[in-house]
Parts: sequence; structure tokens; C-alpha cells
Amino acid sequence: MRSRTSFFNRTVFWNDLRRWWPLTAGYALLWLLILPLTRLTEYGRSYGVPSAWNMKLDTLGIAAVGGYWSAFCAGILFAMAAFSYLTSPRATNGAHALSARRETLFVSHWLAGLCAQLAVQVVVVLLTALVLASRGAFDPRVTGLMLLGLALPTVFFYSFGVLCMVFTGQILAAPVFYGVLNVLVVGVELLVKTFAGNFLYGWAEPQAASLTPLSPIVQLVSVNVRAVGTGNEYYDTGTVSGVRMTGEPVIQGLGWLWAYAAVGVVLAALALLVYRRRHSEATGSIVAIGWARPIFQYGVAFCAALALGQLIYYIFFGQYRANGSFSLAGSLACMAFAGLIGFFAAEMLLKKSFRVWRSGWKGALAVTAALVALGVVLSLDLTGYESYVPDVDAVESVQIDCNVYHTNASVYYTATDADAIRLVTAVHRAVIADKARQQGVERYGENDALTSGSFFTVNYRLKNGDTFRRRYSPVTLYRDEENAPGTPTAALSALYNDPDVALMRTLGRWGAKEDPRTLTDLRFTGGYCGISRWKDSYYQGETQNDLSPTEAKQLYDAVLRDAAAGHAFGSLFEAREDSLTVELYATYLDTRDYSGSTEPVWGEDGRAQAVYDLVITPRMTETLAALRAIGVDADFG
Amino acid sequence: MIEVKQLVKTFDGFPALAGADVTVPKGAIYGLVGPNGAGKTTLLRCLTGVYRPDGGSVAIDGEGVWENPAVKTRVASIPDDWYYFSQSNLADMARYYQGFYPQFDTARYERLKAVFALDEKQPIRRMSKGMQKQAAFWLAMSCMPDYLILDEPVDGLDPVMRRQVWGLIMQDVAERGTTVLVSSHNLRELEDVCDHVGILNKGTVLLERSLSELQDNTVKMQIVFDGEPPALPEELRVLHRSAVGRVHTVILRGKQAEIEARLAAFRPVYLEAVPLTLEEIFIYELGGADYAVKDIIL
Repeated sequence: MRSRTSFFNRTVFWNDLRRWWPLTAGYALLWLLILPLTRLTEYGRSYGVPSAWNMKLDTLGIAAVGGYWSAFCAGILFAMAAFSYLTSPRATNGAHALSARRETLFVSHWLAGLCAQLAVQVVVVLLTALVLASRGAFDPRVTGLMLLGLALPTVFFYSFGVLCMVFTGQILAAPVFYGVLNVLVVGVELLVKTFAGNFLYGWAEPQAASLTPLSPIVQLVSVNVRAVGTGNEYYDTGTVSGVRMTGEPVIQGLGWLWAYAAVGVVLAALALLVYRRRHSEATGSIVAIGWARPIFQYGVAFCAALALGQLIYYIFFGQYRANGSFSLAGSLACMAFAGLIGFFAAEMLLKKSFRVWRSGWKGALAVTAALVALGVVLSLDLTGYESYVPDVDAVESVQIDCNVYHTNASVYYTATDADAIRLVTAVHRAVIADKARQQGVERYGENDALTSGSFFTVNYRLKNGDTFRRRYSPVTLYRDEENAPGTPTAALSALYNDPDVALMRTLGRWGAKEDPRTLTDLRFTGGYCGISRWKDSYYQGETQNDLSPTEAKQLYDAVLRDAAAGHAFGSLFEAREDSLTVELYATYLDTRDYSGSTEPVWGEDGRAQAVYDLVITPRMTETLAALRAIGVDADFG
Repeated sequence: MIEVKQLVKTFDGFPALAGADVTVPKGAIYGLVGPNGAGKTTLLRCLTGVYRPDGGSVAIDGEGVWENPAVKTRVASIPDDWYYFSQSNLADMARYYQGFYPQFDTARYERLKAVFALDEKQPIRRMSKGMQKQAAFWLAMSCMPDYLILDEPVDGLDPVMRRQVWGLIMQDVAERGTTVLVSSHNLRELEDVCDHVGILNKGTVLLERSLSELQDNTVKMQIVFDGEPPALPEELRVLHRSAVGRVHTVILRGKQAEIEARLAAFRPVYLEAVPLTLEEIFIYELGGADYAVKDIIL
């Protein structure tokens, strides 16, 4: 007779709770100190007692932030307590010889660990609610949110800890796996980007979805889970002013907590499946699941190559990096060395023996071959990443962002018509063609009279919907090549002096996002004009003038006239006068479709704001005349 | 009845069990013997549902054991490394066992206090190895199992307690029809209690018979010849022969009467069949399987 499947065994559950009472008691004591006891002390004093609203916000904040950090720490501890029997052969055999199915044992142990934490949380939250009630600040909604702030991350981190426990047969390996896996993706992403940044000419971080959510604790920190008010208000007491939170306190990032809790349930189910497949004899192994062993071994080798390999390279060879470029062969050699260390270390852990050289040579060869292959792919640009520049016909728009360091000449422009796109792609091609020389430039010996550093970033949007970015930094520009066709300097100079580009860069970085001539119902609302005064290189203050809407419009029209007359043209190496600041403020009717977008519509009347931070050169006579007409004498002398 | 058929279990490619066949009749006391590393403990762990077999089947009364609580409820086992919770005492463990064995007999547990002179409140970890073994027996016997699986069960027990424990087991077999499978290296002891024996070597069962059948089928003869001993006919299956002075000891496979008749034809001065111990059967059977006792001179 086969017994029917039961997922719960009362004996296992209560036995667990009885055995770990010190852990549960410690957890309870910690939370009693963090919430009800400190709140009682804080709010029980006779002076400086915060308002009921602030009490609720503070208390919820402690629950929210403390909730996920304590869940992170307690999760693995309770998982280790619940499933510690899987790390001792005697205990494993004893448990598995009893008349309970694997799923019964798993669910009973899992529930025991979860219930121990949840029970403590319920008690702590109720006691905290009592403290708040005694101060007239009780709010059932805040009480519920506190419980969610504690319980939701607990479900996730505890289940994650349990998954780590069922994957290993060594008690000390579980917290290591748990800690590493909580930050692994972010760490590997960072290392890969560092590597790509060093060895892929033109590497720019792709604007893909972030992988940070796969590193849970990092994600919760980065979304800044905390208590906030649902609204803001400006206050001014006469001596102090600022913006303060109002409205009902809520947990910022609660959606992430719910999402992680749901993932936690999935991880628990996954842990159950793994547990059912796990062999009792795997107890004592670093990785208890057969198929996960090669993943572990090659994963360790990969991470060691990326982290330790690059570190070794920087420590031992970094000081020779005088010209800003890295040696791919040297770096890969260090990575191969570190990868082999990682591979054999993992082999030693798996085999529990130091004699792994003979058994592991094939895998070691594979690791080395993979890194050599990576070197070949990168040096020959087999992926085409470095040399790719799309055809003009294939580009819908391309945004260029470029700045010449020594003169502060900059181009921030979005090209949408074929001629402008052709100018941008010409710069892009010229920079790629100049790769060898650019990587060989001795940066420390740069002479700004002859050359200038620059960065150059392009964001392409193709007609097929694809997007991609490239960033080159630094790009050295040569003063004597402004008229030498095919050079980056000449190509950038041509772009710099394109009439549209010249107008847009004259209107400054903020205004250059969109061509003001295409905006609907552009209305100037005012402006600002400041002239910094200097004496013997010491700043002496600034003469400030507010501009009326009419004056702002007059200046804008003058800029347009200068641009049309070619007065905005110039050399990349021409110094800019930075002592003069002119800003024009305007609004326009925003006709863009924001449906399905998270970007807010500026203003309730559908009007968006524009700020033009004018870049004025001595040749812009119309603009300078307009400035003089409104009483601003800009002396470039 | 316990039926193990073609059981295979490998560890990282090493075959601990390579097609073992074991049949333990209901109500029998079955002694599982074999050299170190033969696969005895692995077999017992497969029988108790600890290890998942890689091949073959393990069944009790026709039902598979793996992940079958209904069957496992009827089986109590005492492994060589019996597990208890480190902070628990006997009373705690008794409560724990009650959660898995619905037939746990509290009255019997109380009665067994008279047999096992242990302090119920003393933490088990503070008990000696022998006392821990007694505790394991106390709990196992209180579970009222239909099947008792024992791995080196009396190892660590003093002679008096050994006798007590075996007495309890025999009583259960006689009164309740309990089936016992016991693995031990103490062949002398097994000989006294077992009615069936299986010899396991290198993951397979070399032979499996009732003890009487086994003893009937192997004969130890002591022979004295007048002068040089004659060459024995090849059809006599000699497992071992040795001589001290003129007394020749020959162990042969076959029926005693038939062998005596064949040897009498050589007109020996003295011919007598000597009772064969289980230990001798074990040694000489394994000798045929390349596991002979080596004469070591250092």
C-alpha cells in the first residue's frame, strides 16, 4: 500500500521550533530592541516628542530598512538551522530513514524556519502598534505596512538561503554561496564592463535593462527602500525653508518587496525540486547536486579570471600603462593564470583533495583555450563591434556628445536628416580609422597648444528600431589637422561648423535637446545674465541681471541672426569666454505623445520648459549688440 | 518478506552494489556478512530508503521502499552511526519517534526501562557508545516494527547487554513474527541467532541460504592416513586443506554422507566430520572469490 502524499509533518515542525529556540529568541530580542523598546524610549520622553505623523513615518522607516537588512542576515541563519541536517551524513541518514517523504521533510523544515521569523515579526509589530497607540499615533494601515516590510523580504531571503542549503552539503559553504550570489551578478557585470571598457575600442555601456535586480540586496539598497510621505510641500518659517514630506506614510520600493517575495516562493519550490533530486550521499560535498558541479567549477574559474586576473594585471603591470591603453595579451595571460587558479581551487573543493592536477587538466585546458579564443576574437574584432558604423540610409537619428577639454568647445546634437547624419558618421569613421594612433598617444606629454583631448559619444537609433552606443575617450585632436580630410579633427570641425549644429551648440547643452525653431508656440518667460569678475586669477564676484521676457526674446533673435550669418562658426581650438553666463527661459506647447511613457508631462497646461544657456563668442556681433542694448557690456578683451 | 533484486548503487562511478539479490523470508533472522567494503551498509541504507537505488528494486512485502512512508513506518533501523539530536535526551527522542511510528508502544517503552538502565533525562550525547546503542535499541523496540534492520547492532555493548538485546529480538521474532536483517562481522554471534545467511562481496551476493542448509552443504573432515596421503579425486570440491603432523583437515563442498563414503574408500586410519563454524564458511567461501586469508610473514 502506497501512502498518500503529505506535505507536512507536525513532529518535524515542532521539533525544529523547540531545537532552535535560542536563534528565535535572539532574533526576537534584536527586533524588540529595534522597534518597540526604542520607540517607547524615544516617544516616552517629556520633551521634543515628534508629531504623530512623524512617529508613524519614523517607525515605518525603521521597519522598512531594518526589515530587509535583518531578513538578509536572518534568512541564511534560519535556513542553516532548518536544513543543517543535510550537512552531516549521520543526520541526513537519520532523517531520511524515517517514514516521511522528501517533500514532507522539506516543507515541514521550511515552514518551521519561516514561521519562527514571522511569529516574531507579528509580536514585534503588535507591540510597536501598542507603543504608537499609547502616544496617539496608532494607524492600522501603518501597522500592516510594517508587517509587510518585515515579512516580505523574509520570505525571499529565507527561501534563497534554503536554496543555497539544499545545493550544498557543507554548512559553511551555504553562507558563502548566499553572500556571493546576493551580489554576484552586479559584481560580474562590473568586471565585464571594466574588461570591455579596457579592450573594446569604443565600448559604451548598452542601454539595456539593468541586471541589478538579480543581485537582491544590492537592488533593495539601490531602490532605497524606506518610508516616505505620499506628498511634498514647501515650507518657509521665515528662517528656514525647504520641502517636506506630507500625506500618508508609505514604503518606497514596496513593489520590489512584493516582487522578491513572489520570487522567494518560486525559489522555495525550486529548492523542493532540488531537494527531491538530491542524493543523501551528497552530504559533505561542496556542491551536492551533480549537474551544478561543472557550473560551479567553471563559474569559479570565470569569476577568478575576471576579478583576480584583472587585479593581478593592475597590480603588477598597471604602472607601465603610461599611454592609457592596456595590453590585451598581458591582461589575458593574467586572467588565464587566475582562471586556472580558480579552476583547480574549485576542483580541490569538489574532490576534497589537493591531488587534482591530473584529473583537472582537461578542464584547465578548456579554461585557457576559452581565454585565448576571447583574445583572438577581441584582437581581430571578429564580432565587428569596433569597426561597425551603420550606413547613413539605415540611421533614423544619431545623437553626438563631444567636448574638447582645453577649449570647452562642445557639440551636443541630434542629427535626423541625411546630411547631418553623414557628418556624424564621418566623425565616427575617422575616430575608428585613427584607432592605432589614438591608442598610442602619450597622454602625459600632451601639449594643449598643439593638441587637445576630447570625448566622443554617439547614440544611434536605426530605422529597424535597434539602438546602440559608442564612446571614445579620450580622443586626441590635433590643431594642425583641422583642415586635413579624413582625420578625426577635420571631421569634427566640419560637424562643429555645420549651420544647424553651430546654432544648437550656441543655444547650449539644455537647449540643444530640441531645435527651438521646431517647437510649438515658443514663449520666452525671462532670463538671466551674469558676468564673473576676476582679478589676478581671483574670483571677485558676479554682476547679475535678470532678463525680461522681451529681452530674452531679443537675445534669442540675435543668436538666430548670428547663426544665419555664420558668426557662430569657429575653430575647435578657439578659447571660449566663460566669464559670461546668459540663460534664456522659455516654455512651449509639448505636443509629444506620452502615453505609455514614464516621463512626466511638464506643467499642468501641457507646456514644457526650455532653458538656453548661450555660448557666446567674440564673432557673434548681433548677440553682443543685443546685450549692449539691454545694458550688458560683455568685454572679451 | 524483504526482496532485493539486482540492486545497483554507484558512488561517483564506483559500484558499491553491482546487482545484489537478497531475499529475507518473513519472520527470519537474516545475517548479512561480507568483507569490509562489500556493500553491506549501502544495501541496508537502500533498504531503509536513505539511498535511492541506481538500478534494481528494493521491496518489502511487495511494496517499494523508496519514498514510501507506509512501508517505512513498519521498518525500524539501527545504523552503525545512529543519529540523535545533540541536545536531546531519551524522552525527547521517544516523542520524536512517536511522530513517525503511529504504532509506537508507550507501555512497552515503559517496560523496557527495566531492561535498559538508562537515565531518560540524561542528554544522549553524554552517554557512552554502548549506552547510546542501548538507547537506540530501546527506541527501536518501542516502535513495534515488523522489520528490524540492524547494522553492527551489538557493537559496543557488554556481554550481558548483548545477551539481553538478542533475547529481546528473538522474543519479538517468536511472538510478533518480526523479520530481522542484521549485518555484522561477529560471525560467532550471528551463528547463534541467525537462521539465514547471505554473503556479500564486491557488491554482489555470493551465496544466500539458510544456516542449516549452508552447514549441510559444506563439510570439514579430519583424516589420518597410514603413510603418505593419497591424491583426492578431482570431483571432490575441496575448498581448503591443511595438515598438522599426520592429521589432515579438508573442507569440502557437498553432503557429509557422500563425502564420508568417498573418503572411506582410501581406508584412512581416522576419519571424522567436524562441525563447521560460520566463520570458516565465510573464510573459505570468500577464498574462492579471491579473498583468502594470506599467510603474512614480516
